[in-house]
Amino acid sequence: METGSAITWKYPSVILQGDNSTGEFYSVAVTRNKQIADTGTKMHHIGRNTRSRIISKGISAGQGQNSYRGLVQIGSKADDARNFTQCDSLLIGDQCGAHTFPYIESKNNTAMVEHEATTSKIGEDQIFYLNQRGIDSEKAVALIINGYAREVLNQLPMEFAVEAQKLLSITLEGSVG
Amino acid sequence: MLIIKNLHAEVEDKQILKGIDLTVRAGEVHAIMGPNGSGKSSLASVLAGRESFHVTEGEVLFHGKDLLDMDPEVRAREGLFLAFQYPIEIPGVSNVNFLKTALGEIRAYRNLPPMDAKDFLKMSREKQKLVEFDAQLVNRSLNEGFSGGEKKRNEIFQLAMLEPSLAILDETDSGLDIDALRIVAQGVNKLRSADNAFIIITHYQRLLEYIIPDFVHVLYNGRIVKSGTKELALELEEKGYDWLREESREQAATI
Amino acid sequence: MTSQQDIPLYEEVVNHWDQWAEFISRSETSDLRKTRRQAFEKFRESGFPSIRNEDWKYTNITRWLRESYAMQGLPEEPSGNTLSVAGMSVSRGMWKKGKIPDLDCYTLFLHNGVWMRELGDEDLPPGIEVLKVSQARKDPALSAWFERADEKDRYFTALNTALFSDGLFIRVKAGTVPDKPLHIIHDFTSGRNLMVQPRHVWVVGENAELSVIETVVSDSGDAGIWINSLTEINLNRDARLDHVLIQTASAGARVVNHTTVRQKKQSLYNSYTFTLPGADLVRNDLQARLEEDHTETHLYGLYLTAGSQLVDNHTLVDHQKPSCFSNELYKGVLLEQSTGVFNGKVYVHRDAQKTNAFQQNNNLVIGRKATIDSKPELEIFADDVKCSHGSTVGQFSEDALFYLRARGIGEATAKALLITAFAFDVTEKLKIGAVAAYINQLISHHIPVDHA
Repeated sequence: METGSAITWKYPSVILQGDNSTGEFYSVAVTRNKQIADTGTKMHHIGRNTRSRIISKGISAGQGQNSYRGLVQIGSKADDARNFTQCDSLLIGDQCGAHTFPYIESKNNTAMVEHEATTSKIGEDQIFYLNQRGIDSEKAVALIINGYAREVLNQLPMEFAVEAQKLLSITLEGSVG
Repeated sequence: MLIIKNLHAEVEDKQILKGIDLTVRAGEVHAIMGPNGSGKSSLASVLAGRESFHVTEGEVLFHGKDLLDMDPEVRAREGLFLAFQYPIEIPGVSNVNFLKTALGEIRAYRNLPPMDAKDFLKMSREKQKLVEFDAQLVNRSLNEGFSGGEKKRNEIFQLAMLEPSLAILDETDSGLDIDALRIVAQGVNKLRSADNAFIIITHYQRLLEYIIPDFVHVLYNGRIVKSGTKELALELEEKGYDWLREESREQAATI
Repeated sequence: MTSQQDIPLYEEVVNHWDQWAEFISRSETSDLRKTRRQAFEKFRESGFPSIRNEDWKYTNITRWLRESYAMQGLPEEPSGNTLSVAGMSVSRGMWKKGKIPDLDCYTLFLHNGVWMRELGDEDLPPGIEVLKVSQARKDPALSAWFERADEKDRYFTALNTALFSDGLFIRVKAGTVPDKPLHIIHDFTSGRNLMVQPRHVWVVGENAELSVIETVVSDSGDAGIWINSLTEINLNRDARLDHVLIQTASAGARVVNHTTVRQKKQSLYNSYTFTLPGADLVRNDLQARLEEDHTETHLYGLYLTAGSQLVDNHTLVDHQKPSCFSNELYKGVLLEQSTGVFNGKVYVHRDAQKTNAFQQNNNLVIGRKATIDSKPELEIFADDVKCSHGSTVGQFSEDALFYLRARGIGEATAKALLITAFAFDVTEKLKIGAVAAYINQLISHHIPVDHA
C-alpha cells in the first residue's frame, strides 16, 4: 500500500518458473495533494500451466496522479498460461488523473490473457446523493473508498486489513470539498 | 410540517425561484406541475440543500426548525427525503451496505439504538415487496447497471426503508413505462399515512391518476401561479401550459 | 466509384430513372421530388457496395447482385392494391405463417410493402394513426417525414429514398398508452426475381408508449426477392418504444434492412432483433441517434445462421448529448458453413459527457466451416464517460459438455441445451411472454440434432 511520499516508484516482479506455479499481486495506491505514484508489476510466465492474477486499484485525490504499468510476459515454453489483470482507478474530484499502461508480450499461442480496466469518479453529485440519505461527507468518502478497495483488502490477514483501512481513512481525510 | 415563505433562489447567477409560498401539513400530498424551466427541480434541490443553489431571500421551516441553516445530511436526518430525477450510480458501494449506513446515521441522530442485522433483513424484505424489487438488485452496487426504471424503483425502495416524514419525488415518473409507473405509485400509496407528507413534482398528469393529490400547484417562471385540487391537473393536461402563459399575462395586465 | 459492371439492376435504375421518378413522384411536393433526385445522384455515384467499401468489407453480395431483378412499384411492375383470389389465398397462408400463437395484439399485414387492411385488424385504438406511405407521401402536411435524407446516405439507403413507393406510416399521439402491442407481418412473395423497397416512418408522441413486433416471412420459390427496407423511427420527449423484429424469411430472400432511430430527451428505445436460418442474405443496419440528453437505449440481437447464409448486423449508437445510457448485447450461433458479421460502432461526441455505453458481442461457432467477423468500434471524444466493449468467439465449453454427459444427457441434447442457455441472455429480455415462447420455439426448431 502506498500512502505517503511525494514520488513513488514500485515494481515488484514475480517469476513463475516451476510448472503449475501461481502468482498473485494485489495493490492499492493512494495519491493526494500533488503526489505522483508510478507502480506496476511484472509477471513472467516461464513454466507450464502457470497462473497469475493482478488486481491493482489506484485512488487519486486532490492533484494526485496514479500510473500503473503492468507487464505480463509469456515465454515460448509457457504452455497453457493464464493471466487475469484488473486495473481500476478511482478519481476523487476533477483535478487528479490516472493512467494505465498494460504490456502483454506473448510468445506462446496457447496462452489466455485477460485484461480489464475501469475508471470511476467520485464527484459532487455522488457525495450530495449520500448526504441526502443522511450520510455526512467524510463518511460518504469512507464508504466509497472501502467498497472500492475491499477486493484488495480482503486478501490481507485480518490485523493488516484493519490497519490498512484506518490508514486509508486517515490519508483521505478532508480530500473532498 | 413544511412552511416555505417568500423563497427566492438563484443558480449560476440566474434567478430561478422568485417568491415561493407553500405550506405542507402532515398527511397531505401536494403535486407541483409546470412547464420545462419553471423551477420545479430547482425547488427540490433548494429544499434538499444542494450547494450550487443560493437562497437570496425568504425562509423555510421544517418541523418548526430553520431548514436552510442545516447541511443536507442533517435535513435528511430530520426526515426529509428526495427521490432524485436522475439517481446517481455509485460503484463498489452495495445497495445493502449503503442503506445500513444511512439508516444507522438517521437512527443515531434520533437517539435510537442501531438496528441489528436480523431486523434489518426483515425490514428489507418487507419493503422490497412493496416496490416489487428483485432481491438480486438489492445486492448490486448502488444504481450501477440498473435501467432507468429500476433506478426509480430503487429510490422508492430507499424511501420505504428510511421512513422520512417529508418525501419529495422529483419527476419520478419520467422514463417509466406504464407498468413500472403503477408499481411505483402503488408503493407510494402504501406508504402514505397521517404522519408523513409528499411533494410530487411532475411534468405529466398521468402519475396523479394513481397517486391522488390533495393539492395541485402550478409553478411558472419561478412562482406558484395557480393552486387547486386534482381537477386542476386534468385541466392542465387538456389545455397545456400555454393557457397558463395567457392567464398570467392577463393577470399582469390587470395589475 | 466501384465498378458496377455485371450489375444489371444498376444499369436499369440509371437508365430508367427519369421515367420512373416521374411515375412515382406524381402528386408529391417539390421538396420531396428534390430529395429523391439528390438521393438518386448519390446512388448513381456510389452504385451498390462491394467489399472494397469499409462498411461492406466482410459482406460480399456480388453473387446476388449479378442476377437481374424487376423493380416493384413501377410501370413494369405495379404494386397492386388488389390481389386476385389466388393471390389472396396465398397471402392468407403467409399471414398464418407469420402469426404468433397466443399473442393478443393488433395485426397489420403487408404484402410486398403494401398494407392489406382486409387481412388484419380494422379497428385500431384511438391515438394510433396508421396510413399507407403511398398516401402519406402525397400529403403536404406529412411529406416532410420522408425528406430526412442524410448526406452520408449511399448505396441501398439512397436507392430506397430515390424510388420508394409504399410502406407504413404510424403515428402515436402524445400521451397515448395502447392496451395491446402492434404486430406487423411483412410478407414478401414473388414468382420471379423482384426488388421491393418498403419505406416506413413511425412517430411516437411525447410521453406516449408503443410496443411493436415485426415478423418477416417470404416465399419466392426458385426466384430471388431482394428486400431493401428503410424504417425511420422518431421518438419525442419521454416517448417509449419496444421494438421486436423476427426475421424468418426463406431461401431466395436477400434482405437489406436499415433502421434509424432518433431519440429526443428522456426517451427509451428497446430493440430486439432475432434472425433465424432461411434467407440467403440478411444485412441489418441499426442506428440509434441520441439527439438529446438523458435517453436510454437497449439493443439486443440474436442470430442463428445455417446453410450458406450470410448474416450481417451493423449497429451504430451515436451519443450526441450528455448523460445518455446505451447497452448492446448481440449473440450469434453459427451452424454448418454459414457466415456471420458483427460490427458495433459507438460514437461519443465531445459534448456527450457522462455517457454510459456498453457493448457486447458473443459468438458460438458450431459448424466446422462457419465463420464470424466481429469488429467493435469505439470512438470517444468526451472525457467524463464510462464505456466498455467486449467480443468473444468460441466453441462449446468442453467442461460444460462433459458435465452434462456425465449426468446421462446425450451429446446432441447437451449441445442443444448449451445453445439455448447461450441464447437465454437475449431471450430473457423480452417482455411479452407469448413472443418469448415463440422465439424459443423457433430456436429449438433450428437447433440440429446432429451437429455439422
